[in-house]
Amino acid sequence: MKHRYTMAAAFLAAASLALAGCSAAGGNSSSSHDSAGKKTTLTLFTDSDVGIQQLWQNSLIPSFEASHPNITVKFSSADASTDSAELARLSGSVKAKQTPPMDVIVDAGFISNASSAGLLAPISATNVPNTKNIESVMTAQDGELPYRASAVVLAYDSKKVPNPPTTLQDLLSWITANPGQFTYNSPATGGSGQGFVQAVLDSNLDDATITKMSTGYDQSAESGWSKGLQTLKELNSSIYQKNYPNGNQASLNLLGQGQISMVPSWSDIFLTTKKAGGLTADDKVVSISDPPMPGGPSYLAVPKNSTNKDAALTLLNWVLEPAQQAQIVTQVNGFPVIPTAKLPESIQSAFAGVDTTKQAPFYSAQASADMNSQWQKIVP
Amino acid sequence: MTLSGARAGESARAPRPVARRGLGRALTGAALSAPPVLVILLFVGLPMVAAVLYTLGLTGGLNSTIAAIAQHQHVSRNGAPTLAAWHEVLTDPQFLASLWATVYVTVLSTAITIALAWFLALYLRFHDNWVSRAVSALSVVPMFIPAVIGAYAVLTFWAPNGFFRTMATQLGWSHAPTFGYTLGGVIIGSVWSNLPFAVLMIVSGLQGVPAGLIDAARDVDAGPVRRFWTVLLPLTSVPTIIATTFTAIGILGSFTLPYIVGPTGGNILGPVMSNSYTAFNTPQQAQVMAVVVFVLAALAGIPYVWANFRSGRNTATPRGGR
Repeated sequence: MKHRYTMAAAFLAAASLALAGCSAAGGNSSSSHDSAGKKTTLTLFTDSDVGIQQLWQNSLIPSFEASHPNITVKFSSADASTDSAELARLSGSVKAKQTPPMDVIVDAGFISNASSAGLLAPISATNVPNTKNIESVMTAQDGELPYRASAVVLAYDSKKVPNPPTTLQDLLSWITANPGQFTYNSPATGGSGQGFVQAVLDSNLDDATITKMSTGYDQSAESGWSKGLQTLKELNSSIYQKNYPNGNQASLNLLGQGQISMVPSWSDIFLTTKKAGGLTADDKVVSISDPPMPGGPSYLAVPKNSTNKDAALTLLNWVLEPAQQAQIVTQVNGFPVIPTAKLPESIQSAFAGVDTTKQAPFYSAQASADMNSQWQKIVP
Repeated sequence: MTLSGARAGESARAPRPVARRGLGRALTGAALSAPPVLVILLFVGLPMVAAVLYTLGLTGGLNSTIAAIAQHQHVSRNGAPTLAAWHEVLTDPQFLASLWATVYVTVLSTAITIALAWFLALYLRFHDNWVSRAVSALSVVPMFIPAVIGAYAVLTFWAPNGFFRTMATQLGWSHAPTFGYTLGGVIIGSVWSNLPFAVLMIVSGLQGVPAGLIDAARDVDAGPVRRFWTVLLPLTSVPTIIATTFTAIGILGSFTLPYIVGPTGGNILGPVMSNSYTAFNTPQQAQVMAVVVFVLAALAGIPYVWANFRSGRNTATPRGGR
């Protein structure tokens, strides 16, 4: 027993020495990262699901390390429930002028908060040249780099519903005409339910207000939601089990099990679940319009106090290259953030039934939080 | 006793050496108990004080990070604490409904758990055969099943296409109840997951009741009910109170089970607090709710402290008598 502790202590000491060495190397390399022989270790953090973790661990990181022999990428992940804690660690390190817990943030829910708190390194065409190829619908706040996108679509069982609705009004009348055949996850627990709720609220708002909601935070405009929330409340009796599942996957699984015939879903989660056998060949997707269900990019970001900023920005720029964008399409069925025309033709056909260009943005983090809260107060 | 009494008398005349020894002993004691006390002060006490200050609108210091992110905060003016956040939460019908649901689920689940545990414990105390041994082994199984797995098991078992409903339909009962996404399901799950601890506590308490006392009661014609009320229950009151307190506090703060099994609206405070903290980005309101749950847990803890005090006095009595 004692021996084991000694070993552990020795190992810890060795590991901390090694880490100290790495961070020192990182500090040097930021001034001269082109010089050969300088090793940099990037710490990458994500709170995303297994699919995204595998995309980075098994595909992107190995090929990045192969093409950039001087940069090693250390992958770390945590559950999304730790977001507040991670954000607190990051903001603490910025305040104390210390090394941040990570050099590259992938997808994490706290990126937008970190952006508005001014914790991220600025990103522009000068330090990440490939940003010029990003499509203009992929909006971003300061310090956020869109690198993949997806949209909320309507997943349906084509055996039970041969002609699915394509506008929101048709969808709403279908739901009331077929009670117990539709549900959506509670908006606080996932973007697909949130997307459906937002589309219903948007149908009672003018374009200027919708833009205001997605780009900023205007509490007075939220009074316009009441009509849409009333519509959603009236749907209650037509919802499967009169209850709202927790999470994107839970609601989609009900479609896979044949308990319901229609559900809003993230395009990438739908395609990944179908590939994994969780859905049948009869399950298909269609985009909803007037107003559309929103979609949007997922982001990469670099903390402004990162000691390996140059290497981190190199990684960000590399992810935007067509080869990596194509990999994202094939691996996780994400939309590319650069025009699909730049991708191989075989990949362009992956999005039958889905419009990847006409996307409505999601509400801003603050407006979404208020929307979730009001939905919880009024609807269930 | 007498020895230390004599020493005490001596020390009055020659205080120095004893005082030094007493001081050394006190220092050793303090040093030994310091690590756990410091850990609790640092990781439980400090965050708790910070949280209470935050609910009063004091957003500086330790609360500055969360205050920089939160929405709909009530911030104190000129450093004077404000009760605005408390007023907002305590007058919110949604919170009051959840508070009521929490109390009701906790009281009912705890009562059912303790009653079932008593039945099981009595059976195990007075029967020793293969059935009772199997029951005693099975009764602790839920303790080894992770909360998430248990919650999904409860959900699928009671779902509209779950085992119970399927079975009932086969037997001709087409309107069997479903408990998925209801508080009823939360109660079933809470009882299921808390039963093992209560059974272990009460069984061990009952095993400690001397058989001679029960036999003596029987000899003077005390029936089973009388024996229960006058012998078994009083002698097992401390473990029963401990089991009740721990069960109640566990259910008060439970999250996983109600999150998975509970209803979307009117769920108990665990998931509601988590939603308020992250999804609604209103951590101040979430912390007000947390303080309320803390007060409820403290109330549930009073009998435990009393039981501890009582069992301490009980063990102290014989020594004092000597």
